[in-house]
Parts: sequence; structure tokens; C-alpha cells
Amino acid sequence: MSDKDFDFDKIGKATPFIVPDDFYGNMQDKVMSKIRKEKRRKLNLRILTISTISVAAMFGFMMFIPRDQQTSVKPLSEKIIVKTDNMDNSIRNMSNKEMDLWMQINESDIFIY
Amino acid sequence: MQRTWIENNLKKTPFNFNLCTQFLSNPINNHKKLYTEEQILNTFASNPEKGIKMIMDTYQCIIYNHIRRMVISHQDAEDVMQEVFINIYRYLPHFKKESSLHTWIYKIATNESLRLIEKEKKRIKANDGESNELLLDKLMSSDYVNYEDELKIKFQKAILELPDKQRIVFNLRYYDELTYEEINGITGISVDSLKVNYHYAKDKIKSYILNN
Repeated sequence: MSDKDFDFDKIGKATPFIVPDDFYGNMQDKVMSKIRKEKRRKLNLRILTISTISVAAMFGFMMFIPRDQQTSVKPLSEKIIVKTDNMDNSIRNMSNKEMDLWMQINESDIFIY
Repeated sequence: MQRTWIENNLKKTPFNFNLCTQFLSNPINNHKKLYTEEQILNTFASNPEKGIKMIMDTYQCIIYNHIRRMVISHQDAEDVMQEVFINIYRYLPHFKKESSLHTWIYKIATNESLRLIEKEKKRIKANDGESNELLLDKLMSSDYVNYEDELKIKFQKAILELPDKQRIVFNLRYYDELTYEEINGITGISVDSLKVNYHYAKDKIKSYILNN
């Protein structure tokens, strides 16, 4: 071919590339499938993020409740000790006559001995 | 030659869709209804899945051809094209209409094609010349190339001799018949540089064909 014979118009705009049958139909199906998969993944991630934040927030709230706002509950052992102390004081403060009476009553008490 | 639905409706389209049926070696006859950019954007805003289908119906053929001319291999073109439409779906909500939708889609397709080519270069640690040899190998060993027309094969070989960006400019101007302003919107290269690039590309291609 000489320089004079060369003409881009003779070559034209067609390429030698071939497309398989039903390529575009299959392409659309593949793209839609990937898009839906991505949507599901984003939704799952959003749910996970919200759940994690909620749990972290609850945990943080529980950790930082001020102590003086908590109700104070004395354990049972403390109650018993207080009552025992009171009993000891009562016995110490009894007169001899009262002590004798108390002894008579408790002699028949099967739960003491 | 019997006019296709597309040729009959050419005036309704904002760009030269005629390229799609005429410039493939096996014309596609399964084109669905085409949509205007406004129809596409309005539909996408309310129903993204329906919108992306409209985009694929309208642009898949020309975008495939553009990608295929860049990456040569049909399998690579298929992978790039999937990535292009997924990116369109992801980023269309952020499309600011600074360019036409048509230019924006071409830009995504061009960038994804270049990304694949760069990835191949890095994989085989090739320079530009070796990368073009790789594309030449793909051209000559494909199941989806018609080798009967030797001049068309030689023409593709000549185009592959060009640097990647010059090849893009040539393809967009020669095959897609885009204006220099549209190509500027896609590539970011100034109009004057584009004109020079296209002129040099044509000279190189002509020289290759005459000397081989």
C-alpha cells in the first residue's frame, strides 16, 4: 500500500472484536447480582454497627453510674453482728433479779442447749 | 441495508449511538429501549435498581466497545465493564452534573480500563513497551477476534503501538467521534493537546501500516 492509497475512511470504524451471544443480557444479570450482594453486606454492617454502639453505650452507662446514687444495702452478717452487740449490751445492763428471771425462762428452752 | 430501531431513532439520542451497531463485526440486535439522561437520573433517584438497568440498556454497548479497544481481551473487558457499572451505581447519587452523564460514564470506563492496564504492568513488572506487547499477544490469541480482515487486525496493531493516553484520545476521537471538548471532559487533557495528540497518533498509525 502506498502513501497515496492509504485512507482512514477505507479502513472504516469497524473493529475485529467479537462479542459472545447474549453477552449483554448475562452482563446485566451479573451486575445486578453484585449490586444486591453489596446492598445486603452494607445492611448487615449497619445492623452490626448499631448493635455494637448500643451495647457499648449501655456498658459505658453502667460503668459510670455515680456511687453515691447507689442504694446502700447492708449485708446480713452485719445485721446479725449489730443485733448481737445490742443483745450483749442488754445482758450487761440487766439487774441480778432480771438475770435470774431470764435464766429460769431459758432453762426450758430446748433451742438454746 | 435494513435500518435498525437504533438508526431509526438516532435523533432522539444525545450522542452518536449509531456507532454501536455499525462498528462491531457482529452487530448487536438485542438493543432495548433507549432513555434520555433526564429519564435515567429521575428514575435512579427514586429507584436505583431500575435506574442502573436503564443505564446499562443505554450505554452498555458503547462502553463495552470503548473498554474493549483499550484492554483488548474480551474477558478483561467484561471484568472492567462490571466494575464500571457497579461504580456508576455507587457514585451516581454524588453526581454533580458538572458534565453530562455520558461524559461521566466514559470517564469511569476510561479510568477503570487504565487501572487494569496499570495493574497488569505491575504484575509482570513491565514498562510501557512491554505492556503494549502483552496487549498485542492478547489481540493475536483471542477467541473473540475475527482474524479474517487482515487490514483491521493491522490497524489494531498500529493503535497498540501508541502510548496508553494517546490511544485513548485516538479511540475516542476516531471510533466514538467525540468532540475535543468531550474528550477534554473525560481525560482532563487540554483541547489543544488533544488535537496535537490525535494528529500525531494518525501519523504513527499510517506510518506503521505503510511500513508493515
